[in-house]
Formats: sequence, structure tokens, C-alpha cells
Amino acid sequence: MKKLGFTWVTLDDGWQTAQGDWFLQPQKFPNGDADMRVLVDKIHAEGFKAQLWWAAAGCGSGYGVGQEASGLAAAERGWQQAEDFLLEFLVSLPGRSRRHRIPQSDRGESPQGLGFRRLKLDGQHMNGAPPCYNPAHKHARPEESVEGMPKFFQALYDTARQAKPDALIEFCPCGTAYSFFTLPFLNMSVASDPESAWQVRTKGKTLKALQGDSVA
Amino acid sequence: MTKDDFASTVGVGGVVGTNFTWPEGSAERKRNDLTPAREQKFEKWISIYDTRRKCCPAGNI
Repeated sequence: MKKLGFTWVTLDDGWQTAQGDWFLQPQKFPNGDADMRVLVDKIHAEGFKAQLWWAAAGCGSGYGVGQEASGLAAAERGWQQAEDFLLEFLVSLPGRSRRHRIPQSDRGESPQGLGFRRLKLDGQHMNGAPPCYNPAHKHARPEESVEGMPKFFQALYDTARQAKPDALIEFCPCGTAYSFFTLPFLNMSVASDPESAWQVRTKGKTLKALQGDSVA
Repeated sequence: MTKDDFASTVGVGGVVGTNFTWPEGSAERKRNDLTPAREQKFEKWISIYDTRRKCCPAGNI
């Protein structure tokens, strides 16, 4: 890694039990947070900075929230989980509840932020949500879900930057275009899953034009 | 190979990045293997990025 000139190291997809639950995969981290902490510390000790991949607001196979009694409870749990996740992975918060994390943490382990310096938020789903007609969610209007998606990412961005003012929030809607509504809530973009040089160059120039040199 | 099109990223002032699994053969997706050829390419373009990163993002491109 050093020989090649890397400065950042990203822990990519595969550390979690399921997309949506975000518990550490016990086969890979048998000692839970302690193992993750060792990994992050090692990355930093070697002179790199650590980034964590996260499909925020995503859910996939094995997702436990679907077992909640109601959609509203699932949504509330999802947000609480996201908030806990952000704070616990970015900063040290003594005494903070870890009710949504792995069981080892709930058995009295001292809460420690895991020290990541950057988050890579990943997935096309982050670009928007469809209108929601599920009565269990108790929306005033179906469009609330559409309007809520950018607010969700604003809250993530603000929470992360409040916890760590220099935190980088990378937004990767895979090979798709960015949503105008979430663009204010990232400070690092990608030319991910590129299909062509035209796509990479157009995307890069458009983002630079819209956001200037402050976006990496 | 499009996924290793570092020239376009460097050209528009982007930050170069990679995605790989090491050692070679341990990846679920073979395309993620860090082969000697990819390693050479990464080293070359990260070096170019390091050399030019102070000028490209601020220039007229």
C-alpha cells in the first residue's frame, strides 16, 4: 500500500451482517468492536487514514428491520440506528447507549468511537425515495417520503460534521448521476463504476462547476 | 479498461482511487484481484496524481 502511494484506506462492503442492520460480521470480527478498533488503529499507525463504507438508508437480504411490528417503528429504528452508527464510528462518546450495535457491546463494553475519518455512502437508492402510500407509516402526504430523503442525508452530513468538523462524506450513487437535492450534503464525490471516459470527465467537470474546488 | 481510466480522473482534477482484493485469487470477484499489471498501473497513476494534484484542481481545464 505504501509502495503504491496510497494515503487513504477504505473498508468496503462486507464488514456488516446485512445491509440495513450494520452489525459487525462475527466471522470477520469475533471480538466485535475491539477487533474493528484494532484494524482502524493499525491503519492509522501505518500512516494511512481510515474510511468506512456504508450503504446509508439501504437494506438488503437478511435485513432485520423488516421484522418490526409496523413500518413507522421500522423507520424510527432505522434513523436511530443511523444516528448511533455515525456517532459511534466517528467519535468517542462515553456513556452513549449502544442498543443497536452488536451484542458484545451491550454487555458493558466501554463505548469508544472507532475512529474512522471518512464515510463512503454508497448506492443508487440514495438519490431518492418514491412516494409512500403505506398507511402504517402515517404520512400526512405520500410525497413526505420523497421530501424526506434529502433531509435524511442533510441530517447525516450535519451530524457527522458536528462530530468531526473535518469529516469527509463521500457520496457514491454508483454509476448514476447525482441527485440535485442531496448534492449539498456531501463533500466528496466519485466517478464510480465508470462506463466511459466521457462519463468520468463530464461528471467531474459538472461537479467542479457546481461545487467548486471545495469538493474533492 | 474503463475502470482503470485514471487519465480522465486526473485530467478533470479528481482524486484517484482504486478497489482491489489482495492477495490475488482471494477475491469473490476475480476482477478485483490486485494483479502485478494492475499494481504497476496503480503505482504509475498515483505517482502522476501526487505530482500534479497541486495544479490540476486549480487550473483552467
